Amino acid sequence: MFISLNLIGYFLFKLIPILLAGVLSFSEWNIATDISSLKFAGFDNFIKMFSDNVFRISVKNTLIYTVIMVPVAIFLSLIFAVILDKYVFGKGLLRLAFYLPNISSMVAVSIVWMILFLPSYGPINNFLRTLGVDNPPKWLNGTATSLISIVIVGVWQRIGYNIIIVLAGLQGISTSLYEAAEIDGANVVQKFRYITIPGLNNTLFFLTIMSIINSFQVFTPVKVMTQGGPGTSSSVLVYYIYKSAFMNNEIGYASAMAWALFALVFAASAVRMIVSKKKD
Amino acid sequence: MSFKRVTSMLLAGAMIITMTAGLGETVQASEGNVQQIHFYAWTNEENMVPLVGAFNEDYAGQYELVYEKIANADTMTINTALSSGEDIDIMSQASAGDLRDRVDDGVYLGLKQFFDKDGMDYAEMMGDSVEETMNINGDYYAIPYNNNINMVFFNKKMFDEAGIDYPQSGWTWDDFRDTAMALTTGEGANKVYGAMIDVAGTGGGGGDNYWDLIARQKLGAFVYYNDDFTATQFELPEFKTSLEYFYNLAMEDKCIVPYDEYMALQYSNDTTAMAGLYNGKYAMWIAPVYGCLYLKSSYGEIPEGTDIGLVDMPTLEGGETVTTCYTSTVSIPANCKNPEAAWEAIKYICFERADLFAGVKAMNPGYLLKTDEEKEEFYNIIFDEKPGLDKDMAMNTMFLDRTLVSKDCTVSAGQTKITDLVNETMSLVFTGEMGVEEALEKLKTDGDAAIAAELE
Repeated sequence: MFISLNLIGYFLFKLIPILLAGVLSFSEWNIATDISSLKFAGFDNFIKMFSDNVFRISVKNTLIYTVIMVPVAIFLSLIFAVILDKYVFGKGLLRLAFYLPNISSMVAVSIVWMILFLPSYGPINNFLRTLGVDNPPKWLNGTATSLISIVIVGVWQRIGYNIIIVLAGLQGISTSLYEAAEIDGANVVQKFRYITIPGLNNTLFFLTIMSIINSFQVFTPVKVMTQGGPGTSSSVLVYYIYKSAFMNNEIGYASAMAWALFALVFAASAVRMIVSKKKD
Repeated sequence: MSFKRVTSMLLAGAMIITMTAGLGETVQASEGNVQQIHFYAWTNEENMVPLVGAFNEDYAGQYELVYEKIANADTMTINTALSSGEDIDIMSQASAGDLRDRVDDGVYLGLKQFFDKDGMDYAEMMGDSVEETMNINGDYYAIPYNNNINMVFFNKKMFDEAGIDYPQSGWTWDDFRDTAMALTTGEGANKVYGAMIDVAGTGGGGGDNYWDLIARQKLGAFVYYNDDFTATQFELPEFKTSLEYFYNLAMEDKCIVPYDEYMALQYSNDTTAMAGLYNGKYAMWIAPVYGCLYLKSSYGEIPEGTDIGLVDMPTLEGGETVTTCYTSTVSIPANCKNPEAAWEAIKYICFERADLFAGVKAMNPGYLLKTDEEKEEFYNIIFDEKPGLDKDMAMNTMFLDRTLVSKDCTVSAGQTKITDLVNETMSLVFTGEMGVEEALEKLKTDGDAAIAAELE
């Protein structure tokens, strides 16, 4: 009874729409018409995915984004968290500073990043020019760099959340281990390698899985900064689903792609559950 | 039963009731025989008050116009409203492609019957080009409530300071280029551009795509399609001329706002774009007439001494002006319970009191203004209370003759794919990642394939 509120909400706003998306993925339907005009399309929408070049590019870009963003964000947050935990003054303020991007409006932040990335007179390229780089990158406006630019914004945004989680994990490592290592003459790097990292094993695993799931759903920076361009160089799966459903009115096809995304996220979640059970 | 259990049951019950409350039939709140007409559009409510008030006064005891505001003109917003089960008597839309999709799926009522009954002629009222694009298999499913005619706004002060004469209608694209180059000064963040043009369709939903302006001026409506709509015609020399011209302005002469700055500085937003013009970031801006709306004080304070002029679009050879236009339209859903009443309201909104709908938004009406009196009256409304606009110049310009080419595309075969293709390709061209010929070849090959796939 106590969870009835949550259950009703879950059924109405999550489970039923998910199941309806499943039905729609096998159909062709203009949402402006009533449901009676829905036509059964068999596996056409799923077959179409394999011949759709933009879908393939979007999946590839999503995977590239994940493969780069997740390890970089975790590595940097690990370093920053260890430094924040032990080696700096004003920890609270710094934690807040790192966490701010995570709670900032991604739309507003993306617009600021667009100006930072401006090839002609953006601060980043101006800085690179002062370092002697004659032809700095075109960032969002180059096919080779647009996705990397999105990754940079993703890392910047994700790092604050990761730091908070890692900091929590660090509190669970007994200080006696560090004291014993110190007596044995271990240096900073050795303590990090042999105490901190093994001690954060579960935390890092959790962060990896959550970051992977999160990165599969990257959307806002793409929508605001590049709209998938130039060309399709920064198109990612969620953006392509959005575009197909809400701009091109291809509800059936978008639903099929949403199921493909669900399969990716489900696979990541399954790995997490299996590994967690094994550890238990 | 514990307090917590009772509370949670009550809350769960309230939640179910709240969520299912919207599933019932809408009850028409009518007094006596007054018929309600539900008009769906995205205009702000306060701008609708005069129109709704005037209609309800003129049709007192017969009809009551009820304005229902939707969030925006996006495809999904309108489609979900149409399928919501609400009583919709009149639906507005901005996209001609969406209109065609809805017509193909039987969502809208054919309106030719009403034109015939009232002895009205669509082409005569709306003009040949608009009629050509709105004629779907011999019927009309939408009436334009505005016609957004593309013009060139310019910052007169910048021309004065540079000692350059104001452009005159009948000028050429070469004149435009020379003027833009002469007005381009400075470097980096302080660079002032000769013009700002949305060449690459960067407005999210497609934008204006002015890269094809010259081709449209030369080839007319449905410019991307051949005569029988079975293939594209990007191979025609007019497209090369057009794309090459705008490519050179952006990439060689560097006298128009480049793609990256256009995107980063949000110039696809008309308010920002007009601010860029009066703040001297660029000297000319290609935009529809309603661009002057953003000189209204409600859109931000206009700097002292702002002086904005208006001139017709240039053409390749000069002389007679040919310019592009696009419409927003209203339609009657096929399941409308009282189409006659909806038709009466449409006539009122689009023709009889267009001043209260299009006019207050600084838009040309959907129908052609024919007499000088009509023009005088309507342009006075459009250009009224626009501080910083040279109203006399704007009025005089609008009185000139011009041929309109509609940009509205109501061809169904491959349109969505071609629009995506054009946007993707032009984003490559105007970031210097693809050349003109390669771009047109890609548009031709992939565009033809998209049409062929849909015709299959």
